[in-house]
Amino acid sequence: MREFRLKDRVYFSDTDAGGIAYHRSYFDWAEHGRTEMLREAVPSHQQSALAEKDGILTVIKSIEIHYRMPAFLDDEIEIITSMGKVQRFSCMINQRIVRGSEVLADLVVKAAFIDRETKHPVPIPEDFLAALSEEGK
Amino acid sequence: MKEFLYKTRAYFSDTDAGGIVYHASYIDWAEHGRTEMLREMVPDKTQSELAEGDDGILILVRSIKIEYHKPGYLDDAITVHTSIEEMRRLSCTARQIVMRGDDVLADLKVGLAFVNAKTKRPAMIPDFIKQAYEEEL
Repeated sequence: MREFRLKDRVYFSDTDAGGIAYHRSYFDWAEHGRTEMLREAVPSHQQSALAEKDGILTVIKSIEIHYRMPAFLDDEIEIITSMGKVQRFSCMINQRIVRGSEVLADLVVKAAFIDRETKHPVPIPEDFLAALSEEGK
Repeated sequence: MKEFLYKTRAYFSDTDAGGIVYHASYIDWAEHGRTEMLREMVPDKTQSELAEGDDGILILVRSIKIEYHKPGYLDDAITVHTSIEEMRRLSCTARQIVMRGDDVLADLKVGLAFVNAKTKRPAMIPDFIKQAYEEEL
């Protein structure tokens, strides 16, 4: 399976009074990793284009995250993203946040597509489906 | 166990370009709900005071499982229902439900671990927290 890697750093805005990266920051990093993977997989479809042309939004259905080690200010981190199972209405995405060879957190994310107006689920657009299934191989 | 309620509102800062509440905002609301529960259970100590001294403790998030059921929108009045589902020696699990009126927007299970604030080693949950929990049962 293909992995998409995105480099980032732990900034002051990511940290809390406990002296470590705040647990919500991992959700933001993971979102950046998924977005950049999508942009690479389907270069013709920026998220804003998808919303305007087809009236489709991507939404998160569920996230399971396990925190393994704390991250600290200035850490260089990498977000590793790979596609899991792709279905008609939803897909699974596996993500790992690492600092060098250390695993900081593991996430399993379920994403779906909805109609922008009705907010009802819609099938994953054909070109997305093809690109995402290709990523998952 | 008794449920603790935390009321808030979906502000602009909680929303994204999709016109709905951004998925990581629920993580913030849940944190506020847990904090207010702790303040109610242990009214004579703030979180900073809990971290003071050789026996000071920090509460770390070990895992989160969140399921998103319905989107939240700007201006929504939000109530976060928080209860402790399981209390162990070194850790506990919180169940949190984010609601708008009768609508369930999201459902979370949050694994929390207690560590010594100085050494960052796992620490026993202090007796006064256990007692407060047992009184709420």
